[in-house]
Amino acid sequence: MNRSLRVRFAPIVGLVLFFCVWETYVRIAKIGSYKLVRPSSAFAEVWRSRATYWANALPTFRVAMFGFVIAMAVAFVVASLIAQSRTAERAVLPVALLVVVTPLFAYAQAILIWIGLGVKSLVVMVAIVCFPPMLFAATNGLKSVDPAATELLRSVHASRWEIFRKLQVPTALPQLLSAAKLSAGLSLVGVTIGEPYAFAGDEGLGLLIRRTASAGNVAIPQLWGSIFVLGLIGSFAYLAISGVETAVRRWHSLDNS
Amino acid sequence: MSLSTSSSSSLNAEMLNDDPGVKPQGSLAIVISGFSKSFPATKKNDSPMHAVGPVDLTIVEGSFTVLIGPSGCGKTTLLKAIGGLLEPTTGIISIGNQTPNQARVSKLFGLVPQAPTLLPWRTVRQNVTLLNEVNAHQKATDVAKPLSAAELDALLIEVGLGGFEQAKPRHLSGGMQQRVALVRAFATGAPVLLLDEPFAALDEFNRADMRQVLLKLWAKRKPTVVFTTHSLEESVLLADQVVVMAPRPGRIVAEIPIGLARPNLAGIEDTAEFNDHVKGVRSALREAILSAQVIP
Repeated sequence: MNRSLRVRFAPIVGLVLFFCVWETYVRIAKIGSYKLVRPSSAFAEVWRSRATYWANALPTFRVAMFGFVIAMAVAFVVASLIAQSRTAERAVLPVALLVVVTPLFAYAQAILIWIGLGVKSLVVMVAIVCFPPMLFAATNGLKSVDPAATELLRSVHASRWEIFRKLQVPTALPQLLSAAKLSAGLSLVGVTIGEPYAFAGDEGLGLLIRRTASAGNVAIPQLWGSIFVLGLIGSFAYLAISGVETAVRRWHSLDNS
Repeated sequence: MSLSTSSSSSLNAEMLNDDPGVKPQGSLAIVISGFSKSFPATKKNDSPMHAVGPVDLTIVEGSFTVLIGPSGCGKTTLLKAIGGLLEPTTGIISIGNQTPNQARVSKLFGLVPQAPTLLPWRTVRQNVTLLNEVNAHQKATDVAKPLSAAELDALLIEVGLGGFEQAKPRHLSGGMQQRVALVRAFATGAPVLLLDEPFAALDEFNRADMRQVLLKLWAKRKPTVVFTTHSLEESVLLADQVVVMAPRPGRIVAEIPIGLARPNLAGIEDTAEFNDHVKGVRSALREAILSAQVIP
């Protein structure tokens, strides 16, 4: 097998190996399914109850997506403003840092009390969790423009808007997309933590996890089934953004093409 | 070869007028009078850093002026001030009857920075039209008329970039990238070109090649060129006048008219005339460096 094929298939091999080790460990150590399920059982459970998981995955995915897109848009607008002024940057970034270092779980209840129960609160939670990484990346990207290129455009009296559009945005895109991959995972964290408290509906993977976890040992396969589905959604989002990122990096001449 | 001091800049302008290869001092002459530039102190108790000046210089329209001097003598500072990218601390710079800022707004400048500064996501064609796309509401004038698409195609072929229009910069060699940067400046149709050590990063073969390309383009269109370099030979090969600068603070110590037969440089480096000019510039440079050591 040549090198490029090896590199391409390495993630699949890694995943298969991971599940094999897990499966073998549970079998050899004779761990009861009321403690830790075999991955094969979890996959079987997902397949068997696919209609249930699908019904629960859809609202979770929708809220995660919505919050993620809002966070991305707001982060880009805020970054565009603060990238123009060092003072504004120094004023805003500590607030974003505060949001990052404070666990969502700690202030989720406060958001519910402030905004009220329902989907709106969930979307806000997701947006808050996704916002800081994208803000940091967008600010950094917008500011990493080559000063010589800025000077070149200034030499023909380019406006701030022209410098922003022709120079700063294309420069920032790869960094923003890298952060978006991280935020896609965080959006699922936000929605899963928020769902049991927000009463946004009867379905959602966060709710399902809460229900199965509180149902005791009998629901362990369903608990792992929910976790696997969440993992699948996260992977799907990550791969979709990676695809866009690869295309942008190729256009940007950062990768070979 | 004659050597004059900065105080006789107008005399130099007259001398250049006698050269049949140079247009008379026209409406777009660059006149620098009493220019100086100081930068704010970086530490609290330091005094401002007096970088350049006072400098007086007249650059005739359509001429090729080379600024030469050791690092830190203020060549780039002066170039940027002419281009309206730096405000003078004292003094006046005019391009025709316009201030540098007004000239910048009117798109009278074509800048070629030290590095090619091509946008990696744009093709060669898109890079050379970049400066024409911005500030596009500024109407083309007789003195600053951007090249048409057909003229651009011809120019790309002329400099050896034919067939590379759709290539991205990363697929080009350093020399080719610098050609794109040159074409980008000429594509603006700007009457004043400011070139800041544009060939500094190239090897000697590419440098020689690029000098020839630049001179051919200049001879055909005759923009006013202000070019900075560290290379003695380059200054003599290219210039109508070489302006020698000394550091600490940056100032002009000599203006030396050159004007070898250009644009064809073949064999010119073997002539006595060329070598005499090189000796003259070298001796002025030596004096510049010595004077910098004397001045505290």
